[in-house]
Amino acid sequence: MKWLLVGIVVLGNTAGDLLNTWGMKRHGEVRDFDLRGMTALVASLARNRQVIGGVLALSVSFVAFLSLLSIADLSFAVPATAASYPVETLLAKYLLGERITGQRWAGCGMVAAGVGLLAF
Amino acid sequence: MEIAMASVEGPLGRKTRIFTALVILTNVLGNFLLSRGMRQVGETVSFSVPAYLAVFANPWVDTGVVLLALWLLAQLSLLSWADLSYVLPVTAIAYVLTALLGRMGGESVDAVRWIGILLITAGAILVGRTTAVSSKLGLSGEAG
Repeated sequence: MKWLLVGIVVLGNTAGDLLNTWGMKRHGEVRDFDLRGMTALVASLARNRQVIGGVLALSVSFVAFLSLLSIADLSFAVPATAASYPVETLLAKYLLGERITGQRWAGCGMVAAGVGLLAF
Repeated sequence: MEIAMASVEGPLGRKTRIFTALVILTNVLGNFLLSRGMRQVGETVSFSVPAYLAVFANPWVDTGVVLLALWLLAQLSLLSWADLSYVLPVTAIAYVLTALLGRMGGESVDAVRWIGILLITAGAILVGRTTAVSSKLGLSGEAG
């Protein structure tokens, strides 16, 4: 049960992050952080298809995460669900066209290795 | 192209740091409060909606959810200019702080987990030293 929930969280996170990044890059850089700017941002995001899909995917992952927290330690749950790092970095390169330098790959690898250790 | 890069390194560099910190803090505190709340609620693994609605009667869970809503707004704002492959590893510092908070809450963190925590921190620092923006969809694409 524990690992099934981890799987749902990872899939939801990966889909959610990719969709949100795609949607926010289409939206353009957020510049106004006062109350009016943030209200306008929320209103515009409510019509952004990628962000709606991304938030839905994150919601599924969130419910699975809540369940995981009820049966596992937080210091197991959070790291174990981060197996999505290398997968998301690869997809960011091929789907979003991000330029991943050697230094960024190395950092991503270290984070993934650290996450792997935390899961055992 | 050089003008575009200069604007990225200037005020945007500071903005990136501020929002990275905001994403990390709301994430860590939100998860910590959720964990605390779920411990009080007890085991909740079911396919019934009311079982999950009942979870919201717990004030720790509610405060955690508010913080995670703020986390979502901060994360989306950050992703509007920074690469996903930058944001993900850099905000991984949240795992380190989460483990430390969990330890303070009585969860055990053994030697292997400490090594994991060190690797995550080093990886996050390494990625943090790269430029936050490279995406063709992003600013450099627009400017270039």
